[in-house]
Amino acid sequence: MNEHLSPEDISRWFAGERSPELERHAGECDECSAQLDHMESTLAEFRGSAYGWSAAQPASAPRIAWRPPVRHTAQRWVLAVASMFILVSASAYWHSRQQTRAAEMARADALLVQVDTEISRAVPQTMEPLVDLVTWGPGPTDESQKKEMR
Amino acid sequence: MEPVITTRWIPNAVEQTREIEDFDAVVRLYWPKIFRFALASLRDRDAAESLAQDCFLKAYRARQGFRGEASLSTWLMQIAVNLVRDSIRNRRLRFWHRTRAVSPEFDLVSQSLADRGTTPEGAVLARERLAAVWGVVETLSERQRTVFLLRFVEDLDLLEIAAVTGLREGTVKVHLFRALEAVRKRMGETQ
Repeated sequence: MNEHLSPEDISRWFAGERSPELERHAGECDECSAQLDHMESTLAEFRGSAYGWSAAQPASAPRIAWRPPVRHTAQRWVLAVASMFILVSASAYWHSRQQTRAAEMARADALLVQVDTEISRAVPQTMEPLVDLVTWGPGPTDESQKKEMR
Repeated sequence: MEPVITTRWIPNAVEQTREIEDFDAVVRLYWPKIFRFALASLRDRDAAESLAQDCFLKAYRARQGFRGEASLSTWLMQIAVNLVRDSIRNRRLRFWHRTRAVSPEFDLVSQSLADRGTTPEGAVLARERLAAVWGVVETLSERQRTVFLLRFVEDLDLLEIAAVTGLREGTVKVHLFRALEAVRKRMGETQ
């Protein structure tokens, strides 16, 4: 290849298309080699400017700010714990309430039994010894009452 | 001049999956790369920072699905490229022109780099060249710009660019060629 590299050849060179002919010519021709060097140094300057610009930015907090918002996770935990607490509290309260109610019912039943006992007595308690002395027979029947009338 | 590497690289899946377990270290290691790519693509510091955060957040959430088929760097860059694409689409028209006003520090950096030239004239020329390249990059299509930045800023080889962008190697070459043609033509005008 005796002809110089065309402008397209230079672009092709940097785009990665380098035929052995192009490489041989670039190695032998000072003019083409200079053109390639010029393009390469321009691209190197461009790279340097991009690096420099990026590095000139103030070191930012984002290095830790990438993390997913912890708030949401924490909120979920708080909600879960609160739900558990409410569930356990409600259960304990219900259980305690049931026990209290059972005790009250037992007390009420006992009272009713006592009242029944009190009401079923024929005489006041103080007179019960006198009642024990008397034997109660069956009451007058209709037949005996008729005989007495006659 | 180093040739463009086109040999297929084989990531070590076990090492890759082990690396992602310490996600803080992953962020420390890859943040500059992702942020730099986002900054060069969007030319907006706040947007680039936000994009880098989104990138690592997405990666963190998807880390269980990372099997190490591609390198961690490639995987993260894939996410970043998709986010840049979405961001540009969301901004729709003239995003580049609009954001240029909010990145004045770019001029300072380019100036400091150009001022490393030996003569004042050389410094001016270098600054002009640099501005011209950034100006051309501004006019490239989103794909051409992405491919150009991945190749000439992030120094990815063609296969890595293909893996990151989901394009075929041939298509990557075409985009790169067109971008380089634009740069070369613009440089010819400034010379």
